[in-house]
Amino acid sequence: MTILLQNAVFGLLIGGLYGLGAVGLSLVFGVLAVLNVAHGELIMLGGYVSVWLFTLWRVDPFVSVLAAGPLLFLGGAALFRLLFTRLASYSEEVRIKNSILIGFGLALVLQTLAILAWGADERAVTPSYAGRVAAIGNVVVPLSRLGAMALAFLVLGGLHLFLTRTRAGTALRATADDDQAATLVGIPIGRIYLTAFALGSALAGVAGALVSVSDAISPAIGLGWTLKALIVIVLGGMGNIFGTFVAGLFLGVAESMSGFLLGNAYREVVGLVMFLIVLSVRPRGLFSR
Amino acid sequence: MSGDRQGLLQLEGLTKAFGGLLAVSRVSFDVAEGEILGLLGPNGSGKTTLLNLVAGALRADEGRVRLAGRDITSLPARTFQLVRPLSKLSALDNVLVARLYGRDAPGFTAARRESLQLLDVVGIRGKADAPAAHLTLMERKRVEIARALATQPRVLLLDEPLAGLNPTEVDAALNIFRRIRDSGITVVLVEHNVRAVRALCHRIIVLNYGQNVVQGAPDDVLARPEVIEAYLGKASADFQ
Ligand SMILES: Nc1ncnc2c1ncn2[C@@H]1O[C@H](COP(=O)(O)OP(=O)(O)O)[C@@H](O)[C@H]1O
Ligand SMILES: [Mg+2]
Repeated sequence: MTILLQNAVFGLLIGGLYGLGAVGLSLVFGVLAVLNVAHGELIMLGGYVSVWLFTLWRVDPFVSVLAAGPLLFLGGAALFRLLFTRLASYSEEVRIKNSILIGFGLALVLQTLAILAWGADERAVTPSYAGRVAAIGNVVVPLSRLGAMALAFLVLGGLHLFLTRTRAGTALRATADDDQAATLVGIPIGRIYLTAFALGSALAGVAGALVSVSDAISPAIGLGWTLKALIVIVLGGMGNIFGTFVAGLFLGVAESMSGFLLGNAYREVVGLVMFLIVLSVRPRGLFSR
Repeated sequence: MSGDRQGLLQLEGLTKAFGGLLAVSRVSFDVAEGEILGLLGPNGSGKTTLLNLVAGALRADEGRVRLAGRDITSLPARTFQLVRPLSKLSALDNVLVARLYGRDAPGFTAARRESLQLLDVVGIRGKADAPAAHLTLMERKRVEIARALATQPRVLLLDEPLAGLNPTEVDAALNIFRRIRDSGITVVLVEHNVRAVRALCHRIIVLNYGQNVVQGAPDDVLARPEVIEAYLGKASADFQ
């Protein structure tokens, strides 16, 4: 029983990051109808920001979040200008298809650049509190993961406030709903697209820095994160922040439980199987209304 | 400025043809500030086309549109028209986004407060958080009107806002429009419902075959034999 509970706790803690990793992708897809399959690589870059700052100046990874977010925001804006702006004038279907192609190319380039810059090896951040745990009864909670989970939740809360309590956030939601109607209201949707992509990238950066708190970073981690994000989005339903977060937690627990019950080889399989089942049975998402 | 005496909105010889069909033909009139002008005419007489010309959604072949003396004929689409709702956003957000991106937009908090007040004016404050897609036709029309008001238009263009409503709903809508009228806003109203036109409008213009055939005070215009024959006979039959 304790072992089950322990696995559930681990699953929840990882799941928080799955949720955060997926929210940026979901936001970009919702607003632009651009499926950025290089989202995982942006998470990887966020991880390297943290690794870098730690290696150079021993900057705490939780502090590095403050750098990874803005840096990836700017990087995302540049990438959007460079690669995705022209897609905006096409129909939604063309946009989705072409953005996947562009995204794959971008993923390869970013991966290769990361190998050139930092080598192919795993790099880890090792703050003083790395191994520390809190014990609740017989269940052990790693403090660094708990902190990452808490911060992920705060970031999502902040995102929710941004989307519902600011002018730009309201415009973002309007554009996601119907970009032509949004244009008619006078919303400059070109700028909103740019903002959404940059914001999605910043969320990836923050997620990456938080991943570095407890996991090693390497140039190859991107694809795995993109896949997780896609599974989480399908489970949670598009454009629903808290649905996405809950779906992230759900996937984390499901993976961790099945890894324990069926053997570690089945960890990832469970997520993909859920992905397929939900796509065929409830294509609008498990938690959508 | 001479805009006041000549009218806030001035149409001069507006003409628009679709292929060989002359949809609007040399229509000229002024709308004074604070006036509610009714635009009547049988189906296909060019009312919607005329509103689109004024709104800048269509380019005129000939003629001018002036707003407060300024020529706005060839400016891009102006936002003082009814636009389609954002169906996933709440009623409040629909109004809010219009307020935030309208004329003289205030900060977010003030815009939100004003949007709630507008929902109050149109009588659906209770549905503020409901997604537009979940509203009834009447409720959606109310949201549309609140949105149009939220952009703080100099001139509000309304194309058959009462279409599809039952008599009780028309009464409710009339109350809303009276409040809008009393707020001093300038309105061009296309409407088939004669009772509504009589109740709301200061002046009426009747179009037929794209031409301005009659204009004057509602009671005078609606009593004219040619108007009754060309238009009202059919329209009042519609509303029996
Ligand atoms: N986009 C268009 N293309 C071609 N003909 C049009 C178009 N819009 C309107 N018309 C024609 O112009 C005439 C006037 O239409 P409209 O302005 O919609 O009339 P109303 O609103 O008074 O019913 C009609 O004969 C209509 O068929
Ligand atoms: Mg019409």
